[in-house]
Amino acid sequence: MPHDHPARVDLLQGTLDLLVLQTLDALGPLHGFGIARRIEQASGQAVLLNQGTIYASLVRLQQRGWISAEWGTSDNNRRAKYYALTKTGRKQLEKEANDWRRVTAVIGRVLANPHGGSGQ
Amino acid sequence: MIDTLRRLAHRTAAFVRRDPLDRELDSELASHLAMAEDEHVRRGASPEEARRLARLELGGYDSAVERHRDARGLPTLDAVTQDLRYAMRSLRREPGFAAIAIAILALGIGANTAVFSIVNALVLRPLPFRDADRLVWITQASETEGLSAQTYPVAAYQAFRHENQSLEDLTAYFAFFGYMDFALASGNQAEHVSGVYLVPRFFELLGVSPARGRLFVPEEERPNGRAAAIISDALWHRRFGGDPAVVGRSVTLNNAPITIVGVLPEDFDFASVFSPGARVDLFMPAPLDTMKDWGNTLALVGRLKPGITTEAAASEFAVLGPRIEKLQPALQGRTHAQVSALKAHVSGSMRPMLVVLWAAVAFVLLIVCANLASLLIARTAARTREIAVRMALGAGRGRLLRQMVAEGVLLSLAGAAAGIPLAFALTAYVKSAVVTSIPLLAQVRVDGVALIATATIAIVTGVVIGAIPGIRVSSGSMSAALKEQGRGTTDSRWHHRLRSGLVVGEIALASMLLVGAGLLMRSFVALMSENFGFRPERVVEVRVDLPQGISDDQRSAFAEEIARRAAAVPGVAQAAITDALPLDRNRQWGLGRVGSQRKDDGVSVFLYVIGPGYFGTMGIPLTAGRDFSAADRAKTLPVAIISKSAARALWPGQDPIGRHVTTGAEVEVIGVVDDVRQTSLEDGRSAQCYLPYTQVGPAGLGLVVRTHSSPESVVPAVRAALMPLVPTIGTTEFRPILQLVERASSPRRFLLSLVGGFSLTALALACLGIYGVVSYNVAQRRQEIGVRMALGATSRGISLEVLGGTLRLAAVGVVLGTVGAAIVARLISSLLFGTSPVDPLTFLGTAAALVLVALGAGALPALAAARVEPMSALRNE
Repeated sequence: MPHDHPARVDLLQGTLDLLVLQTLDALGPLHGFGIARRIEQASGQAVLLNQGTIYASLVRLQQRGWISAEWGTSDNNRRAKYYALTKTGRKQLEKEANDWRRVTAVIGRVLANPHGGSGQ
Repeated sequence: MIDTLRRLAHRTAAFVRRDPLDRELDSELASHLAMAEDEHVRRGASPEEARRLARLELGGYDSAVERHRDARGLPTLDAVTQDLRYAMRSLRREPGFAAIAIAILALGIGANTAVFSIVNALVLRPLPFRDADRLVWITQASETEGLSAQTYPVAAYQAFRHENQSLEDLTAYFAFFGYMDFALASGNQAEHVSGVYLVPRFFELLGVSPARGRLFVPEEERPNGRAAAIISDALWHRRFGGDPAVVGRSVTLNNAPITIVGVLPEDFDFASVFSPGARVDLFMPAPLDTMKDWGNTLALVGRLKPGITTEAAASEFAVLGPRIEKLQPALQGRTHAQVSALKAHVSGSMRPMLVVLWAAVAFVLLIVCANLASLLIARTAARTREIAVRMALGAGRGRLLRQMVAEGVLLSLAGAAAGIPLAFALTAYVKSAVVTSIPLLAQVRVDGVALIATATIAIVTGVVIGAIPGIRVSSGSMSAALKEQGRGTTDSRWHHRLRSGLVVGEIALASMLLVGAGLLMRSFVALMSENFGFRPERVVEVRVDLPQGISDDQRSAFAEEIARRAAAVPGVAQAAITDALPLDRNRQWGLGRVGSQRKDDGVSVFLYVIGPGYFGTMGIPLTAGRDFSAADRAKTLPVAIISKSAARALWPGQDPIGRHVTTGAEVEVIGVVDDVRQTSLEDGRSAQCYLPYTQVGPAGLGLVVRTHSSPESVVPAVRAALMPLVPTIGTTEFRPILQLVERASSPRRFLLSLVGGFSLTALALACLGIYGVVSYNVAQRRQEIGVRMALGATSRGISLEVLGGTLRLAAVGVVLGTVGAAIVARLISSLLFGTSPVDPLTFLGTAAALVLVALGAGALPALAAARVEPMSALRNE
């Protein structure tokens, strides 16, 4: 049930979706396991992911039309579902990445100046 | 916005395709695990270790599936289906409980569906015509007056039609069609039919199109135009076997050829809208040129221009009348116009009854809710341990409440499904009334709207009955139940109090219903024991088609011969001719005092043209003077008989015999008879005037026959005796005069039978409620009773105590109910007749009946309490 732990899911949700989009943009079509591994590696193992949560993110992105999915065969001959970024997905990634940068910049500024800034 | 919609569509699709999506996710996760294992094996882990690591990293298979479902589907709806599934399982474990609960709910919800269907047809739904909300009824006087007072002469209709600004069009029908007789002949078969004259564009104005053929064309509607008729669907089937070739066929109507040009659709029922209980077979263009001289004959129906309100039209017509009278002085006093919505005219008088009916059935539903809530509380109490365990295992209170509500909703939806056949049966019963003055009954049906209303009622009911026991569960004291033994706890006391409260409510509601039904019953009995001025038992009427194209004298002779032959049939006590009947066809004339200079010096009377022996046949007492006789002839002194009210109005305190009145021509009063009820059973203030057909000529011909034994056995012989004179008599119905009384009392009978049925249902449910609570209470107190008996209490004492408790519940309920009933009685006082709203017999009778029923319901558990074995009760500890 989502409402059983809303705070955690919500926080993860936005960021995880962004990471998934970015991974697909960087590597091209990839299966869920590959995406999860890549996020762990790219973040220098800083993100400790319950890999299972990636699938909720994938289905959500798929329903929004930002990624598409297709069954295929992996390098070592395993059947796997491959996800690829769509056109709208690429636009969305750009937008979300920009938003993210703006938000982190603002938060960074506020955190860097804990005594000032109120009222400005 | 579009994005939101698309996601909702995806989510709904995912919710529906739950199983295939789950399977796909399963294979996706399996492939994920396989790849993870491959990787760990490549890095040198053993196969077991690789499997363990892969699962660890995935972080809970089930939770991944759950999250996936939440992300893609409709999590709330998922939870609801889960709750419903759980409720289904738990109800299936107790089929007996479920069956009783569903049966009770079916009763309450089915009755509500049926009443909704009736109210929907009579009040809510528009009349079955195009843009029916723009149709208006225009009348000179209210419905309590006779037809003559409501209708208009042809010239007034024409003037209104030309002068008014607020109507798109104005049409009319000949309101006295009951006086008209038509013999329809095609081939060698003749049949008596009932026909209505219509002013041009009648069907066009209502928006009725023929099912076959066409409507009238101008050549048929103009004076002396081509003779044409449109027939009803019923006549088409009855007489022509539904033959499509009937359109264009020439038949004979009263010896003149006429062409059938159209057949009306099956759902067009002229009578159920304009003249409930009548039969109308065919329609013809009105001969307006001839009807000009007939006085007030036309009932007016108009269609408002778009955007014009009924009130605006009413104020226009209020000034239109005087203006028309100035132009045409002949219309003096005949242009008063009240404009009302046609719907209000048709079913407005039924409104108070329907409100009562609806309230009654709502009461029944409330009692059903109380009953069910009480049953569910008992069930919750029995499941206290189970619920407490589930809460201890982490089930949220909200979730538990939701599950109880789901149980309630599931039960009431099942009840609604089981109640729908009941609703169909009830509406069929209501529609089966052949002799009725209730309008639009033919339109009553359990339709889609009724089913939606039913579903709504069911869901609300379900939420209410589920939430009442659920509130306590979620209030938190439940967890204490794990520690306690579920006996003598605060919970069970609280449950007992709540259930007692519900039972008291049930008794109070039932007593309000019973008092209401009792008052209606007493009114009905009071009305039926009234003296209506005539004795309807063993009298039948038959319409006789007069031969066409003969002189007045010949017609009189014919009528005399009919009455003579009928009277001669063995088993017939008396027979006579009349053209009108009490509580039926009526027309009103002004009766003036001869010699008076004042113009308004007279009285409005219902006019009858009758033959000798009518009063004896109908059982109307002649209080002074003499009856008409065969000696009253065209050449002898013109005579009349008047009723008491007319005599009193014209010559208060004086002997009217021998005085002269005028109905246009001067006549001498030779007799006085009792008044008969004319427009309704309730209204005793109607004056009549009777003229002999031997002097004024028979118009429509009705024969009334009083028989010695039951009319059914004599009717065939009468028919056979008249056959040689009137060939159509073989196909004509003999109508018992009792039917007139039955029709006039049908709205009361309808209301009484339904409210009576509902109140008995309420009584039975209250009885069940009392039984349930008292027996549960006894079961709860088994140990206590056992202890007390071991300490010397007698079984008699225990029984009396249980009965005393029952009586207390009943007494509180009856007192509350009596107060409520007093209010209800005041509200329905307009529907009562000859009965006081505080009728002591009804109130005391209801209270006594309820107390007795309560004692009866409490008797079984009281006996059970008395039979408690102290030892076994204590061992059960």
